Amino acid sequence: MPRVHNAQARLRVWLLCGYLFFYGVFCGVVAWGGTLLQQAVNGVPWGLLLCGAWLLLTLLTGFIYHAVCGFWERRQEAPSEDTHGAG
Amino acid sequence: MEQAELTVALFLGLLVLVLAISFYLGRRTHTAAGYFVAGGQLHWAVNGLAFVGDYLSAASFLGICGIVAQAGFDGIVYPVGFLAGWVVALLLVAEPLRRWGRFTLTDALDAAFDSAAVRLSAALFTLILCLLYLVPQMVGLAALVTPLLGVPGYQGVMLVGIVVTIIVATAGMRSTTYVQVVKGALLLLVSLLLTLAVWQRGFLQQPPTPTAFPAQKQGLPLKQARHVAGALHVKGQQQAVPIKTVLPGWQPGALVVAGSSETPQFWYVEKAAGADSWWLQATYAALARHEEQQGWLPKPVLESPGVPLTGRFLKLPPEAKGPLGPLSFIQKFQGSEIEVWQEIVPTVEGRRYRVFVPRQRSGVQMLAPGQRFGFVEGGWASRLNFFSLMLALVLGTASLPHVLIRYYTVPTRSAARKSTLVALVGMAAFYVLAFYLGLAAMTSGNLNLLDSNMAVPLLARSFGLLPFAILTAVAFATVLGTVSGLVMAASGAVAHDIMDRLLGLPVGEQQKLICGRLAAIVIGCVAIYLGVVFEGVNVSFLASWVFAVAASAYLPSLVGLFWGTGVTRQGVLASMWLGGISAMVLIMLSPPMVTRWGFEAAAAPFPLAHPAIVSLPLSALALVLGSRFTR
Repeated sequence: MPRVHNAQARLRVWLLCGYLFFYGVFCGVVAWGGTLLQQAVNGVPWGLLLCGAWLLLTLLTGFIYHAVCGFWERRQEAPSEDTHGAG
Repeated sequence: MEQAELTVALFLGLLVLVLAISFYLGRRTHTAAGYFVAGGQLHWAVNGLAFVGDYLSAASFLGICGIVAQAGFDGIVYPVGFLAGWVVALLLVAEPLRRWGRFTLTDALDAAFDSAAVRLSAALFTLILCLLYLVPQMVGLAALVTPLLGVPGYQGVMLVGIVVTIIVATAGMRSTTYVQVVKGALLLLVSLLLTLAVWQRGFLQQPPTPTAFPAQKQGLPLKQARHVAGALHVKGQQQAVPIKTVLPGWQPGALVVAGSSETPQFWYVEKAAGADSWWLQATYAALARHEEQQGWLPKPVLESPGVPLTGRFLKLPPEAKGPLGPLSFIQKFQGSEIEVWQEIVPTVEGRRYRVFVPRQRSGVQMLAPGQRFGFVEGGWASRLNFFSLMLALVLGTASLPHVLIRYYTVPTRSAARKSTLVALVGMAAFYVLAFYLGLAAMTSGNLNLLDSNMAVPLLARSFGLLPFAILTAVAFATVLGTVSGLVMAASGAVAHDIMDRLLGLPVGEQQKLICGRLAAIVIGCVAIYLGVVFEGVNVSFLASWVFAVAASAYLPSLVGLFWGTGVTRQGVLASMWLGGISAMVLIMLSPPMVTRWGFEAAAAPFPLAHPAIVSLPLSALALVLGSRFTR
């Protein structure tokens, strides 16, 4: 198995589980919350606000992961230049 | 200059640019690594933009806008799933894949075993997936070509197929990458400009192209229709029309079939609000496509005579004309009443028809879920279907071979992550724009009832000839970029996985290059034929099936190998075959495919349109049990 830093692995698991949990919540709200999503906030329906929030969450998850991984890599002075075909 | 001439000129200009890039970069490709993964030395920003160009296929550009134009909010859930899939790919697959693989996805799957069976299975599924994913691209292409160039869809598909083959055969991954970069950048730019134009214009009460269909209601109490000796008396018509049948019987929601066997008329029964009588609503009807098929080439959808262009407001709030902002656009849309079309597929005297009934929907309804997925009337089955779709979308991206091989083209882990982020940002921006374009297309008077894939190009036509020609040329480039990426992945599976690593043929660098190029030609030809056969089906819908097969065939094995322990060769094989085959079989038995073969949707052995909710757990179970019993 490839060597993976423990903290990085934990971050990965938490981010992934959290993200997929919210993905499930999103799908559940869409499937069951039709009436709720028809309500509008300042003229914009909840459904669209939910999609917008989801989009931001997706970008945020990606950036957090990259930022933290980059920070650890620099801190450990571990070379990030892995080679192809190591397997 | 005529519409077709301008479009062809722009398209040819784009082709010349693409081919120039291809030949220029082709002179610098002399090794297999250079051909298959661009030497692994691409800049992360270039790779990220190439991800955008690769992933934003016809399914995204044509299909998403088309679904939003048809179903409003329900069209947005596709991009939500597509984007979520990138997070899964970033967190689960991107980095380990780079460690384990070299040229193809098969490399990574086989790294732990060095097994001929795993290599063959993985390469076969790569080929199958690339071919399946080529289908929606070719379908999108056919939808573009027929109305624009005035040629049958298959001719346009052949033209672009040949160009793609030249691109892939000349320079491989490097030229494919730059084609995708150009295409991704153009796509984002043109979508942005068209969205700005839509906001600037605002909403129009009367679309520039008036709807060709008379949407008036025919007031006709039910008793009167029943008692006139089996004939239908329609206001404004001199002669009574004999009623053939009423499907399924006299009740709201039924279809009254009248007229001759050759050209039957369909009337939709609906209850009048607050009255004791029912109305008969005029409809638009066309023969289902497979009924028109002659020989091995189907009749192009858009050649059917008299296909109405629809999409209009029935009521529009004041001050809905432009310029509007992103928020006020939504607010005005929400306060409007829109004419949408409900499709019914009845069978009359052994022939299947597509009957479209005009219905009135509020903007609020169109911006809430359920227009396409039918959560209220469909109950649990429609919800299961929806969850199955979303499961395939979120897990499918991390299993698509043509996407994953891009991770081999950058030099470092950090570059792989950065290029994923560039892709995420680019695609998120595009999907927001696509939503606005879809809403605008819904009400621009240019929506083709029989083929939703043309929603955005026809929206551009409402702005004039030049925007239409530019957008169409970019749509061509969209298909071109994705198809070249897919053919690239498939040729890698043949030349590297099968010929070199599986068969152990004594091929040198030059022979491997030639094999890859020959494979590209064969794959291109098969894709052309499949594209013609599936013409007219929404391309996002088709793509969602590919995601289901990809996730079922690959994802459990990839996750098990990269992050689990005790995974065996037999477990991986069982997972790939059970997952991949079950997904494909369930698709074949699903209602959309069954109706395509001429049967009733209710007769479908598998009740859901999307198989992932069954095939993915099966695949995971096969991996676990297969590994446990063979450890």
